Amino acid sequence: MKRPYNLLLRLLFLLLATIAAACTLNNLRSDRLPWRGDWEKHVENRARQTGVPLIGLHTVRQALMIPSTRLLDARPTADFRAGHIPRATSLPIDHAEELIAAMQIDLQREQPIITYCARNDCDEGLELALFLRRIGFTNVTLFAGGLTEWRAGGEAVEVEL
Amino acid sequence: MACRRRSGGGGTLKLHLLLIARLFLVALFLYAGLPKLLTPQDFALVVFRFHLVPDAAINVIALLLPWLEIFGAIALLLPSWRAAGAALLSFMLLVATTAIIINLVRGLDIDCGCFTLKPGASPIGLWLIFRNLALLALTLWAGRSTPAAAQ
Repeated sequence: MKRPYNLLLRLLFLLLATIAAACTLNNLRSDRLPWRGDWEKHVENRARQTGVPLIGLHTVRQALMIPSTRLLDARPTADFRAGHIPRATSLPIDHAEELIAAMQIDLQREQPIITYCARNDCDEGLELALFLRRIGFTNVTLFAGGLTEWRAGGEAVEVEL
Repeated sequence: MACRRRSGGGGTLKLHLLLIARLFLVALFLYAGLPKLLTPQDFALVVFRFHLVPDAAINVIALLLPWLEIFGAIALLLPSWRAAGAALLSFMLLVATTAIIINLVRGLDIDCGCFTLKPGASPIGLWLIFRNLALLALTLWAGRSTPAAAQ
Protein backbone atom coordinates (compact mmCIF):
# COMPACT_ATOMS: atom_id res chain seq x y z
CA MET A 1 0.00 0.00 0.00
CA LYS A 2 2.93 2.31 0.76
CA ARG A 3 4.56 2.07 -2.69
CA PRO A 4 1.70 3.39 -4.84
CA TYR A 5 1.19 6.18 -2.31
CA ASN A 6 4.89 7.11 -2.51
CA LEU A 7 4.75 7.00 -6.30
CA LEU A 8 1.74 9.33 -6.42
CA LEU A 9 3.38 11.68 -3.93
CA ARG A 10 6.54 11.85 -6.02
CA LEU A 11 4.57 12.38 -9.22
CA LEU A 12 2.72 15.23 -7.54
CA PHE A 13 6.03 16.73 -6.42
CA LEU A 14 7.44 16.48 -9.97
CA LEU A 15 4.34 18.25 -11.29
CA LEU A 16 4.63 21.04 -8.71
CA ALA A 17 8.35 21.43 -9.43
CA THR A 18 7.49 21.61 -13.15
CA ILE A 19 4.92 24.36 -12.60
CA ALA A 20 7.33 26.32 -10.39
CA ALA A 21 10.22 26.00 -12.85
CA ALA A 22 8.05 26.88 -15.86
CA CYS A 23 6.60 29.97 -14.12
CA THR A 24 10.02 31.14 -12.95
CA LEU A 25 11.81 30.71 -16.29
CA ASN A 26 8.94 32.17 -18.29
CA ASN A 27 8.81 35.25 -16.04
CA LEU A 28 12.55 35.76 -16.49
CA ARG A 29 12.30 35.73 -20.29
CA SER A 30 12.11 38.97 -22.22
CA ASP A 31 9.99 37.19 -24.88
CA ARG A 32 7.74 35.41 -22.36
CA LEU A 33 4.93 33.25 -23.67
CA PRO A 34 1.50 34.13 -22.25
CA TRP A 35 -0.11 31.19 -20.46
CA ARG A 36 -3.17 31.66 -22.60
CA GLY A 37 -2.53 32.44 -26.24
CA ASP A 38 -4.91 33.74 -28.88
CA TRP A 39 -4.64 30.67 -31.10
CA GLU A 40 -8.11 31.09 -32.59
CA LYS A 41 -6.83 34.14 -34.44
CA HIS A 42 -3.27 32.89 -34.71
CA VAL A 43 -3.15 32.70 -38.50
CA GLU A 44 -4.85 36.08 -39.05
CA ASN A 45 -2.65 37.74 -36.40
CA ARG A 46 0.51 36.32 -37.92
CA ALA A 47 -0.57 37.37 -41.39
CA ARG A 48 -1.06 40.93 -40.14
CA GLN A 49 2.29 40.92 -38.34
CA THR A 50 4.10 39.65 -41.42
CA GLY A 51 2.28 41.94 -43.82
CA VAL A 52 0.39 39.29 -45.78
CA PRO A 53 -2.95 40.82 -46.95
CA LEU A 54 -6.00 38.86 -45.83
CA ILE A 55 -9.01 38.48 -48.09
CA GLY A 56 -12.49 37.10 -47.49
CA LEU A 57 -14.86 34.95 -49.50
CA HIS A 58 -16.39 37.86 -51.41
CA THR A 59 -12.97 39.06 -52.62
CA VAL A 60 -11.98 35.53 -53.61
CA ARG A 61 -15.15 35.20 -55.70
CA GLN A 62 -14.37 38.49 -57.45
CA ALA A 63 -10.68 37.68 -57.91
CA LEU A 64 -11.51 34.38 -59.54
CA MET A 65 -13.39 36.24 -62.28
CA ILE A 66 -10.02 37.68 -63.36
CA PRO A 67 -8.33 35.04 -65.53
CA SER A 68 -4.78 35.93 -64.45
CA THR A 69 -5.51 35.25 -60.74
CA ARG A 70 -3.89 32.06 -59.49
CA LEU A 71 -5.41 30.22 -56.56
CA LEU A 72 -2.95 27.93 -54.76
CA ASP A 73 -4.02 25.15 -52.41
CA ALA A 74 -1.30 24.62 -49.78
CA ARG A 75 -2.73 21.39 -48.33
CA PRO A 76 -1.32 17.89 -48.97
CA THR A 77 -2.12 16.54 -52.45
CA ALA A 78 -4.52 13.89 -51.10
CA ASP A 79 -6.64 16.59 -49.44
CA PHE A 80 -6.59 18.62 -52.64
CA ARG A 81 -7.83 15.64 -54.65
CA ALA A 82 -10.62 15.00 -52.14
CA GLY A 83 -12.03 18.48 -52.74
CA HIS A 84 -10.72 21.94 -53.62
CA ILE A 85 -11.87 25.36 -54.79
CA PRO A 86 -12.46 25.31 -58.58
CA ARG A 87 -9.51 26.63 -60.63
CA ALA A 88 -7.12 26.03 -57.74
CA THR A 89 -3.69 24.48 -58.30
CA SER A 90 -2.19 22.13 -55.75
CA LEU A 91 1.05 23.44 -54.24
CA PRO A 92 1.57 21.62 -50.92
CA ILE A 93 3.73 23.75 -48.65
CA ASP A 94 6.06 20.82 -47.94
CA HIS A 95 6.94 20.52 -51.64
CA ALA A 96 6.53 24.14 -52.74
CA GLU A 97 10.26 24.84 -52.98
CA GLU A 98 11.05 21.83 -55.15
CA LEU A 99 7.94 22.23 -57.37
CA ILE A 100 8.70 25.87 -58.06
CA ALA A 101 12.42 25.19 -58.56
CA ALA A 102 11.51 22.44 -61.04
CA MET A 103 9.25 24.96 -62.85
CA GLN A 104 6.37 22.52 -62.52
CA ILE A 105 4.14 25.40 -61.41
CA ASP A 106 4.02 28.27 -63.88
CA LEU A 107 3.75 31.53 -61.95
CA GLN A 108 4.64 35.11 -62.87
CA ARG A 109 6.25 37.37 -60.25
CA GLU A 110 3.56 40.09 -60.38
CA GLN A 111 0.62 37.76 -60.97
CA PRO A 112 -2.20 38.00 -58.37
CA ILE A 113 -1.87 34.88 -56.19
CA ILE A 114 -4.28 33.70 -53.49
CA THR A 115 -3.22 30.96 -51.12
CA TYR A 116 -5.49 28.93 -48.86
CA CYS A 117 -5.67 25.73 -46.80
CA ALA A 118 -8.45 23.89 -44.95
CA ARG A 119 -9.77 26.52 -42.53
CA ASN A 120 -8.75 29.46 -40.38
CA ASP A 121 -6.80 27.36 -37.87
CA CYS A 122 -4.45 25.82 -40.42
CA ASP A 123 -1.36 27.74 -41.38
CA GLU A 124 -0.14 26.02 -44.56
CA GLY A 125 -1.78 28.78 -46.65
CA LEU A 126 0.04 31.47 -44.68
CA GLU A 127 3.34 29.57 -44.83
CA LEU A 128 2.96 29.27 -48.60
CA ALA A 129 2.17 32.99 -48.93
CA LEU A 130 5.23 33.87 -46.84
CA PHE A 131 7.42 31.53 -48.86
CA LEU A 132 6.23 33.00 -52.19
CA ARG A 133 6.87 36.54 -50.94
CA ARG A 134 10.33 35.50 -49.76
CA ILE A 135 11.29 34.26 -53.21
CA GLY A 136 10.06 37.40 -54.95
CA PHE A 137 6.33 37.14 -55.66
CA THR A 138 4.86 40.56 -54.96
CA ASN A 139 1.09 40.14 -55.17
CA VAL A 140 0.29 37.31 -52.74
CA THR A 141 -2.82 37.34 -50.53
CA LEU A 142 -4.23 34.83 -48.06
CA PHE A 143 -7.75 33.47 -47.96
CA ALA A 144 -7.59 32.51 -44.26
CA GLY A 145 -11.06 30.94 -44.09
CA GLY A 146 -9.95 28.41 -46.71
CA LEU A 147 -12.03 25.57 -48.02
CA THR A 148 -14.32 25.55 -44.96
CA GLU A 149 -15.39 29.16 -45.53
CA TRP A 150 -15.72 28.50 -49.27
CA ARG A 151 -18.07 25.58 -48.60
CA ALA A 152 -19.96 27.50 -45.90
CA GLY A 153 -20.60 30.21 -48.48
CA GLY A 154 -22.47 27.65 -50.57
CA GLU A 155 -19.80 27.46 -53.27
CA ALA A 156 -19.08 24.36 -55.33
CA VAL A 157 -16.04 22.19 -54.72
CA GLU A 158 -14.10 20.31 -57.37
CA VAL A 159 -13.05 16.72 -56.74
CA GLU A 160 -10.17 15.05 -58.62
CA LEU A 161 -10.93 11.51 -59.69
CA MET B 1 29.84 -22.37 -6.43
CA ALA B 2 29.99 -22.31 -10.23
CA CYS B 3 26.25 -21.71 -10.36
CA ARG B 4 26.48 -18.85 -7.91
CA ARG B 5 29.30 -17.23 -9.93
CA ARG B 6 27.26 -17.41 -13.16
CA SER B 7 24.29 -15.83 -11.46
CA GLY B 8 26.45 -13.00 -10.09
CA GLY B 9 27.89 -12.32 -13.58
CA GLY B 10 24.39 -12.15 -15.08
CA GLY B 11 23.32 -9.78 -12.33
CA THR B 12 26.28 -7.50 -12.95
CA LEU B 13 25.61 -7.48 -16.69
CA LYS B 14 21.98 -6.62 -16.03
CA LEU B 15 23.05 -3.85 -13.69
CA HIS B 16 25.35 -2.41 -16.35
CA LEU B 17 22.66 -2.67 -19.02
CA LEU B 18 20.18 -0.91 -16.73
CA LEU B 19 22.70 1.84 -16.07
CA ILE B 20 23.39 2.30 -19.82
CA ALA B 21 19.64 2.34 -20.56
CA ARG B 22 19.04 4.97 -17.87
CA LEU B 23 21.91 7.18 -19.00
CA PHE B 24 20.72 6.87 -22.61
CA LEU B 25 17.16 7.85 -21.63
CA VAL B 26 18.34 10.74 -19.46
CA ALA B 27 20.46 12.12 -22.33
CA LEU B 28 17.60 11.55 -24.80
CA PHE B 29 14.93 13.32 -22.73
CA LEU B 30 17.25 16.20 -21.85
CA TYR B 31 18.05 16.53 -25.56
CA ALA B 32 14.31 16.47 -26.31
CA GLY B 33 13.38 18.94 -23.59
CA LEU B 34 16.02 21.64 -24.10
CA PRO B 35 14.97 23.01 -27.53
CA LYS B 36 11.36 23.21 -26.30
CA LEU B 37 12.50 25.00 -23.18
CA LEU B 38 14.61 27.51 -25.10
CA THR B 39 11.99 28.38 -27.75
CA PRO B 40 8.51 27.87 -26.21
CA GLN B 41 6.94 29.94 -29.01
CA ASP B 42 8.13 27.43 -31.62
CA PHE B 43 7.00 24.51 -29.49
CA ALA B 44 3.57 26.10 -28.96
CA LEU B 45 3.24 26.24 -32.75
CA VAL B 46 4.03 22.51 -32.97
CA VAL B 47 1.34 21.79 -30.34
CA PHE B 48 -1.11 24.03 -32.23
CA ARG B 49 -0.49 22.15 -35.49
CA PHE B 50 -1.45 18.85 -33.86
CA HIS B 51 -5.00 20.25 -33.54
CA LEU B 52 -5.76 18.05 -30.55
CA VAL B 53 -6.04 20.35 -27.55
CA PRO B 54 -8.23 23.39 -26.90
CA ASP B 55 -6.61 26.72 -27.79
CA ALA B 56 -6.46 27.66 -24.09
CA ALA B 57 -4.26 24.63 -23.35
CA ILE B 58 -1.67 25.11 -26.12
CA ASN B 59 0.64 27.54 -24.31
CA VAL B 60 0.23 25.74 -20.98
CA ILE B 61 1.43 22.51 -22.60
CA ALA B 62 4.27 24.32 -24.39
CA LEU B 63 5.48 25.79 -21.11
CA LEU B 64 5.09 22.70 -18.89
CA LEU B 65 6.01 19.77 -21.12
CA PRO B 66 9.75 20.54 -21.52
CA TRP B 67 10.15 20.70 -17.74
CA LEU B 68 8.24 17.43 -17.33
CA GLU B 69 10.71 15.81 -19.73
CA ILE B 70 13.70 17.29 -17.90
CA PHE B 71 12.50 16.47 -14.37
CA GLY B 72 11.37 13.00 -15.52
CA ALA B 73 14.85 12.38 -16.91
CA ILE B 74 16.60 13.61 -13.76
CA ALA B 75 14.27 11.49 -11.58
CA LEU B 76 15.32 8.44 -13.57
CA LEU B 77 18.83 8.87 -12.19
CA LEU B 78 17.80 8.95 -8.54
CA PRO B 79 16.99 5.50 -7.07
CA SER B 80 14.08 6.59 -4.87
CA TRP B 81 12.59 8.75 -7.65
CA ARG B 82 13.20 6.31 -10.50
CA ALA B 83 9.70 4.77 -10.60
CA ALA B 84 8.06 8.20 -10.64
CA GLY B 85 10.38 9.41 -13.41
CA ALA B 86 9.72 6.31 -15.49
CA ALA B 87 5.95 6.57 -14.92
CA LEU B 88 5.96 10.23 -15.99
CA LEU B 89 8.10 9.65 -19.09
CA SER B 90 6.07 6.57 -20.08
CA PHE B 91 2.84 8.52 -19.79
CA MET B 92 4.26 11.29 -21.97
CA LEU B 93 5.47 8.79 -24.57
CA LEU B 94 2.01 7.20 -24.64
CA VAL B 95 0.28 10.56 -25.09
CA ALA B 96 2.73 11.63 -27.82
CA THR B 97 2.32 8.32 -29.67
CA THR B 98 -1.48 8.58 -29.51
CA ALA B 99 -1.31 12.14 -30.86
CA ILE B 100 0.90 10.99 -33.76
CA ILE B 101 -1.44 8.07 -34.56
CA ILE B 102 -4.51 10.36 -34.58
CA ASN B 103 -2.84 12.81 -36.97
CA LEU B 104 -1.54 10.04 -39.22
CA VAL B 105 -5.11 8.74 -39.48
CA ARG B 106 -6.30 12.28 -40.22
CA GLY B 107 -3.63 12.48 -42.94
CA LEU B 108 -2.08 15.66 -41.56
CA ASP B 109 1.47 16.30 -42.68
CA ILE B 110 2.90 17.92 -39.55
CA ASP B 111 6.15 17.91 -37.61
CA CYS B 112 6.57 15.69 -34.58
CA GLY B 113 8.56 18.37 -32.72
CA CYS B 114 10.09 15.57 -30.66
CA PHE B 115 13.77 16.54 -30.79
CA THR B 116 13.89 19.52 -33.13
CA LEU B 117 11.46 22.36 -33.72
CA LYS B 118 12.83 23.22 -37.16
CA PRO B 119 9.89 23.17 -39.60
CA GLY B 120 9.89 20.12 -41.87
CA ALA B 121 12.77 18.46 -40.00
CA SER B 122 10.78 15.68 -38.31
CA PRO B 123 7.55 14.84 -40.13
CA ILE B 124 5.30 12.35 -38.35
CA GLY B 125 5.28 8.83 -39.77
CA LEU B 126 4.81 5.18 -38.91
CA TRP B 127 8.41 4.73 -37.81
CA LEU B 128 7.88 7.31 -35.06
CA ILE B 129 5.22 5.07 -33.55
CA PHE B 130 7.63 2.12 -33.49
CA ARG B 131 10.41 4.31 -32.12
CA ASN B 132 8.17 5.61 -29.34
CA LEU B 133 6.95 2.12 -28.46
CA ALA B 134 10.56 0.93 -28.24
CA LEU B 135 11.38 3.93 -26.02
CA LEU B 136 8.32 3.17 -23.91
CA ALA B 137 9.48 -0.43 -23.37
CA LEU B 138 12.99 0.78 -22.51
CA THR B 139 11.65 3.40 -20.09
CA LEU B 140 9.46 0.86 -18.30
CA TRP B 141 12.41 -1.52 -18.02
CA ALA B 142 14.84 1.18 -16.89
CA GLY B 143 12.35 2.37 -14.29
CA ARG B 144 12.43 -0.96 -12.45
CA SER B 145 14.27 -0.96 -9.16
CA THR B 146 17.79 -2.38 -9.45
CA PRO B 147 17.84 -6.10 -8.51
CA ALA B 148 19.15 -6.50 -4.96
CA ALA B 149 21.19 -9.58 -5.94
CA ALA B 150 23.16 -7.54 -8.41
CA GLN B 151 24.07 -4.80 -5.96
